[in-house]
Amino acid sequence: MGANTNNTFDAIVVGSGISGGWAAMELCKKGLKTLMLERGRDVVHIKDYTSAMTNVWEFPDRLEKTNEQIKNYPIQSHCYAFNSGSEHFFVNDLENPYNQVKPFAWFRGYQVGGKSLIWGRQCYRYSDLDFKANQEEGIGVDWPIRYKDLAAWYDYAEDFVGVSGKNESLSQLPDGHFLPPMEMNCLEEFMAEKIKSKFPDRVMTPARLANLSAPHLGRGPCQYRNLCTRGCPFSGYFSSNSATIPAAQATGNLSLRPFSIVTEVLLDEKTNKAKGVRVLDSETKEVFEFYAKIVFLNASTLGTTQILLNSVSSRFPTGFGNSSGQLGHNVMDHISAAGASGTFEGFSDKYYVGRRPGGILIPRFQNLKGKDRDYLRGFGFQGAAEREGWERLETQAGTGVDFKSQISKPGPWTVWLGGWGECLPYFDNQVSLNKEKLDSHGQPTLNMDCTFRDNEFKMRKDMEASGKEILELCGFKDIHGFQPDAPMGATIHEMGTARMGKDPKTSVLNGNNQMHDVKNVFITDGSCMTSSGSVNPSLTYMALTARACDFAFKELKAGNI
Amino acid sequence: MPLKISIFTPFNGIALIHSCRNFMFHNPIRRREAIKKSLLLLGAGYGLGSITLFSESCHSGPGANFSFKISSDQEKVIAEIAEVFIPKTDTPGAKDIGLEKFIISFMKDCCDPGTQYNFIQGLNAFKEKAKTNFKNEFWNLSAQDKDKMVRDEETFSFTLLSTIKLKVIKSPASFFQLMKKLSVLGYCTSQEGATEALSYLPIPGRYVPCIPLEPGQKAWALSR
Repeated sequence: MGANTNNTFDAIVVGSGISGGWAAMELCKKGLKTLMLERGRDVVHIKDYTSAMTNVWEFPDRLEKTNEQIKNYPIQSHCYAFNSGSEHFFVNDLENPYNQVKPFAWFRGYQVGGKSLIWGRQCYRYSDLDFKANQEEGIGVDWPIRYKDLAAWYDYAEDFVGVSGKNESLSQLPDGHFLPPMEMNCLEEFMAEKIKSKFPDRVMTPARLANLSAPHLGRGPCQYRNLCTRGCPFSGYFSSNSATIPAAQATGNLSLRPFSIVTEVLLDEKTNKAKGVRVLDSETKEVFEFYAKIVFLNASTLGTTQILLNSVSSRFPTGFGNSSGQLGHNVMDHISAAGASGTFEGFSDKYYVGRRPGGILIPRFQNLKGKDRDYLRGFGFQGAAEREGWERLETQAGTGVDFKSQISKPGPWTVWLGGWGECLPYFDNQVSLNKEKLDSHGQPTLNMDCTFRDNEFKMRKDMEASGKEILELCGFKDIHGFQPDAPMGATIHEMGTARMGKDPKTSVLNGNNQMHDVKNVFITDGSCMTSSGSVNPSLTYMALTARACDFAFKELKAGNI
Repeated sequence: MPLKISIFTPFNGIALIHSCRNFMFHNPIRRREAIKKSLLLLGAGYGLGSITLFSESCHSGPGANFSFKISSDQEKVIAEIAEVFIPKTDTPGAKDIGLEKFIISFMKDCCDPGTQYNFIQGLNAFKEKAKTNFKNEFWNLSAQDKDKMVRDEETFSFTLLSTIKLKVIKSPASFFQLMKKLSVLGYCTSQEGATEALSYLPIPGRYVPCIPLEPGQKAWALSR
């Protein structure tokens, strides 16, 4: 402990997930000696993907969920990505509890790479429809940036990540720099044409995926196994482990310290700057302090919030950088997975090869030119068409050779469409620290007090109705609509707790992701988001991170921070 | 200030509910298929056979000391039923691959006590029925008699009534519903099933969105 040269760096990055990996890479590339702190264990690319090549029959319960898993992972086991092949990339729920004042699903990955190992890999740009909405509707606070501020950084992020996709020239979904798209199958193409013929402005397009449809910067290409959440030995998709951390390490400027739980950001009350951070080593239980000129917080939305709430001082009695009182408030998550499914009688002589690691997107088509729904903002559809496999026979009567022979035949074509929709920022959707209930590391736990409200529920209803309408239009049979009653957190896009804004009285960060209150602290994970938009946010975190690192470095060089 | 804590079950799309509790209903497509098939079966004149089986699973349940154990005789019955579903043809059948071992371990590892209890009740009732109707153990019956016994049970298990009971009352799946699911699941995820009855392509290396389906071309073992 103490200010010796082993503990002092140019920059500290807290968290090694999708935005932390970017921060470390950018700062290292600019020549800064950077310490990246990760609370979990290391996961070395390829070497630590222990289940990547395991055949399904080699899992004891053939990848079905076990009672043991539900017991040990009472929350994580509910994640769509959780199974015996990926469970080691999910947090230990029993050691890391939290408190649900209202139902909240908190899915986490506490290891180097974080959720970038298990994410859905969908990459979409936000547009000015998103950036202007708060101001135009008088909701929350205005974003301090517009699309033009971020456009070049989206280019930059896509160029490094490698995103497969197709440009569609839509104002609500900006074009990007793409590798070849993973084209739609024949039923999806048919649907796209049908939809366009009735709704000329409505598009169905291949999902934009951080899966490499062509070799890219020494990585990939994707081998179409659709086992991304186990980690990819072919570097076929973007993660901190496959891409940003190796790039950071190549500069020689990165120090990576796992098992390092950051408990507080340390304030120098004389200079009103962050000195560094306090770290609890989760293995040895020792406490360390690390110092740096700039600190990037990328511990995930709720992780970063937890640290800030726990960092109190006479200057910041309610949490680090919280003179606005907004820290921990305005929690948003996309409302999702409501929509429709159905069966298609046709294309029985068509099939496909390869397991595409994504599907399609129908970009948001509501409230584009003024309000045309009974709710504000909107949603897009994600999903896919496929032929039913042997699973359909699990609930089918039949015996003998006749029954068995059906196993070998592809089933009918089916489709699943689910909406992913915007959530408004409500001050009362909040998280707070519980100092009475401690986790296994002796740290205060989080109280989650958040719920979707009227606007989101109306939108979800329309997801089901619109989904059914599309399937009816396309001639599907056995159409089934659904609106799962999922709590906030279930979409795994929680954001907003340290939002960007123009006014330090109503926001925590300025237009450069810099804390209004403490100029050498930057936040570029989901905490920073002023509105949620309707598309997956990770690409935006990457672009904001690269931009903020550029700004921070320039400020440092200019002696401003 | 007291903190009100809610208990909840998060739900995410179609792939989430614990596979044993709601296996028929976590995929809306499969549920409707099952109802459709059962309506057809009712229409074809198969009677509602074992009313006793229906009411048994309704009224009893596992006690506090219940633990899931399968005797070697019970295991034989499981193996035989699985073989009726998936017989040996030019590709291995259920008994060839020891499918009963998977079925038993799945029941033990993945199912709640209510479902496990139901399974054993149904298994015992079925085993007894062979003795009652044919004066013999199920595994000694002729292939024809084994097939008929299984078909009769399936007719009942896939009826609308059973389906409604499963969905509305949320009772555990019946023995035969479980046998069918686990026979198919266990076979198709076994090395023999996946590589011989299906087309197993662990590393496709390419994605071709639309190809003609050739006659005799097998379905993929792994779905997207």
